[in-house]
Amino acid sequence: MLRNKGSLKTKNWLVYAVFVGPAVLLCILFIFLPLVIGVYYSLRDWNGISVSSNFVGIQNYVKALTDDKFIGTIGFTLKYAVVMVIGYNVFGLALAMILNMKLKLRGILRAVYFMPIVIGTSTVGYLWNFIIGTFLPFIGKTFGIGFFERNWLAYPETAFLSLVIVSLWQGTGYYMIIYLAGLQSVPSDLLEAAQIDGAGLKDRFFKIIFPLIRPSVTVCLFLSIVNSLKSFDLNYSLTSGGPYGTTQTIAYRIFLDAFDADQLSYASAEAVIFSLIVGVIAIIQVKASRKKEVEM
Amino acid sequence: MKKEYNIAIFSIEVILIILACFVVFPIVLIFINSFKTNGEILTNMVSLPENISIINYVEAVSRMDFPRKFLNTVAISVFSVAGIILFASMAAYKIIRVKSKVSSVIYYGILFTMAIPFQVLMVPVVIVAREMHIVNTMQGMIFMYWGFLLPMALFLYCGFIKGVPRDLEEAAMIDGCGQFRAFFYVVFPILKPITATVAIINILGVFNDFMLPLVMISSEKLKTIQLSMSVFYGTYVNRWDLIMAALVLSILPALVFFLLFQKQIIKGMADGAVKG
Amino acid sequence: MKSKRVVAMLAAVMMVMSLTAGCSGGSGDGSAQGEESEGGEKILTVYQGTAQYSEMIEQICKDYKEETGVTLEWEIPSDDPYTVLKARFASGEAPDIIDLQCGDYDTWYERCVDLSDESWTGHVYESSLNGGSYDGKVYGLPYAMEGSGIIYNKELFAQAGIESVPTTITELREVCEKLEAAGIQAFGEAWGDWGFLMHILGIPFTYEGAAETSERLTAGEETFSDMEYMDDFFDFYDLTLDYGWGAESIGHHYDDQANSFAQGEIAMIKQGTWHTDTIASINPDMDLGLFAVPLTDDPGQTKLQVSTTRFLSISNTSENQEEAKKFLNWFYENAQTYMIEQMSIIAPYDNLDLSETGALNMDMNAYVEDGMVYDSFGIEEWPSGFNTDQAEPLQAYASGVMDREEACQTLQELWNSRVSSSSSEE
Repeated sequence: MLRNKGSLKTKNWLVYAVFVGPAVLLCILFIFLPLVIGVYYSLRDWNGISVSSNFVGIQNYVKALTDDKFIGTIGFTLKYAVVMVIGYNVFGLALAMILNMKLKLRGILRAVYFMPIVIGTSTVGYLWNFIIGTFLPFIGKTFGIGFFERNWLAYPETAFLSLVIVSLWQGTGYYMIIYLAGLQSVPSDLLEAAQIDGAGLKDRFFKIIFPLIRPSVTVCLFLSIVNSLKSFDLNYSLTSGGPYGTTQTIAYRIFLDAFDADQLSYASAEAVIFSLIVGVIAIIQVKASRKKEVEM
Repeated sequence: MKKEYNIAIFSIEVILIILACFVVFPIVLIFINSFKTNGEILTNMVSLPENISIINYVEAVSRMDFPRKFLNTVAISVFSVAGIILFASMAAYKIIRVKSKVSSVIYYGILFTMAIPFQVLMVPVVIVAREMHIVNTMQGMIFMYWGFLLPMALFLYCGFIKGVPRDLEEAAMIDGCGQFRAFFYVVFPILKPITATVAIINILGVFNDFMLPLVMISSEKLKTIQLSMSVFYGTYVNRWDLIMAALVLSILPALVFFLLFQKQIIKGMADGAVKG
Repeated sequence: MKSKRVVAMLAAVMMVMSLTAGCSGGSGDGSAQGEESEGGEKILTVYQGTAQYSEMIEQICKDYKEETGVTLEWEIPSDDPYTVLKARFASGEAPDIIDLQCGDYDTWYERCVDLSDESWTGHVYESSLNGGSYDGKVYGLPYAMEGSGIIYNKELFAQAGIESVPTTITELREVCEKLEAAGIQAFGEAWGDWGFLMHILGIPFTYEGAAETSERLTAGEETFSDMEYMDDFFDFYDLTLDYGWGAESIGHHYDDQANSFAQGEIAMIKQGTWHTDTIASINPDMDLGLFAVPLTDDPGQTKLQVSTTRFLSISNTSENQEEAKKFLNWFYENAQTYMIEQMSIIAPYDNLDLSETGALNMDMNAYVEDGMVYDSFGIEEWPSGFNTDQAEPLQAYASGVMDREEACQTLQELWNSRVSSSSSEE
């Protein structure tokens, strides 16, 4: 690992500190410190309102690990995350590759596919509630399409489908942009040479493009895994976790326990457990895929 | 790619255009309805407005105090993102270039922070903010965004810097450039594609964030667009006309920003393309 | 060279922004420290209300400023008032005056100023005052007395040939059948919102005696399955589904329900007096009425649930407690003008003229005068968190995923888990 032999001189360390210091300080101050405070509360019995609370040890953790409701939301969250990770990356990469081709309307199309990201999530929830709850039934009734006539948010399968569609609608452009940036590092002369040599589409993708955009793949995989596991916004603003709790993610459950049920300490314990799970998954994924990247 | 524009590409483009219509549809729907009266919206939401009037907008703008909220949001976004870019790129550069235990602890430590759901940091974070006396201030919001959005920016930069060859900066340093000069004059320009990505993702992230302002800002005059929007939805539950106009208003700034800078952004990404 | 231009532009933007940010940042500091800014003007922050109050609030702010010179910075909470409130208390930026509901005071009293010595306490109805009290001390000024029942469209009832409101469940079923025969949708319920399910689940509690039933459930002496009126509750619930939007009721919400009702698409909705202004804002000419939910065939049991639901409290971290008390007193003294005349919501004070309060309140008053009321919503003694939890099994029942027994069992499990967690907090 230590490539720079003997470069650990004081001056170099000072430079290193100036470069890295601010970032580390910011993370400690605004993320690690709150996390420590969170861990502190997780060992107490604070309801989020009282002026005082008592130390209860690991009782909250024991309870969380035996709480069916909490464990149950993990299943849903994983299912949702698998669908979303595949969806985001397949659609994101496909769109990026197509929009990297010389299309007539490339500029406009890029803008259109990116557009949903510019809308804030609270707005997205409101907007799609209107479309799913009011507009689709209206279309369904007008044109006699039964599938649209029913209220999608009232049935678990269609509520899940709504969640997936709206998430894809909103998030794909984000991954598209990252892939698009990655694709800029694929030299076009290399592809042309390969094409002249008679390499097929499949070969060109797997042998040339894919290895070269590996860093983007790592980034997108990581971001999509973390973001879908942490998913909260649409569960909150679109489905409210319903119908009957079938679309509750862990993050949403934690939020409910913390603020609706007045159990901030218990929710903190859930959050600590959850962060550890997500953190471990994410770091394993990054370590695994970093190994395969081409180093320059 | 000097490939001809052929039938295959044409058909792909057509498919993409059709798909694009669906993507853009919800936004168009809102836009059309924002010109109607409340009654029109309730009776038929796919019809075109009977007469185009901007009265909904006039009312929404004044009720939201839109210009002030807009300036607040822009100020917070610009400062947050400038800081994020600076701190993240510098840190990422050294973390990747200096391979040591410290670097990898910092790297994975910062990665880990991205796994923490914000909903539960909410209360501890305002406690930290209280101790720092930055609750309900603009600076406070900016500092917090530096902290919260930095991990992802750093992660993106790290991924990119790995692919940047060392030759250029080493050459610069041999020419007598200090490490800072080498970074700012040689490395940073190479990072342009990823900087463009980080900038746009984060500007939009800050622009559209709702949770942090919700817990940090209580003064009306410091509120951001998204925060005012949420109050607006709650306050005018059955005034669809006003809500539609407000929705368009909340989308508009970020959309205009993207359309204005789209060329630069995509170009920026292409400019820095690493050759061979 | 392109990059230079971008950098220059960015620098220019940042300079401009630093000026604006400098100013606003400064003023932020100002309001964060003392509540007096710009020429010693007094400011009180209030965190209260829902959408329906917005016009009244605008009026109050204007009038109060004119009368006293005190500026009210009045914020209407978004969907999550308690989340924000907790964060505000944690950040040391709590509003001076906050809005709480009955049932909140066993936890929130720690954050409130004792108001027992205020002069208005003598004019507030005893039972209303109790809702805002804890341990014998008054912490909240009650300001809204609301009746929960079925709102109906008199015109549609007349069209279907219905002459009187039902007082038993059998009569209610007949009403539904008549409406259906006349081609009118009887019910249209927003069971997608947990709040409304909470209200109906409260009904079997009031029938059995709200506080005692909650106590027995907590002590494990009774379960949901053997609650006396649970089957009747499900019969009523079935009616709202069968003659309404069916299983899709759980995809409907407050606003689309209000719209459909106000446009005359449905004849009855399970709501309450709080709906007066909402419906009037969509359709001011509607002819409305309110009747109590009948669960059984004994008309003597069909009483209207009436409860004092909302209270104003002063946060004990406020630096303007005296000013805030003055405002509460002013609010109490002017309840006739604002709450009753403008909002058509009854404030529970003994010195008000209630003759002009809108159809729903008039119907409520009739029940009050006849002594046909339950003085709670049945939900006040539920363990915290259960109010949102209960929606899941009830929605699952509506979808046919659970039967009555399964729903009761799940309700029981949820109740028990909330009880065990809140007891470990004490």
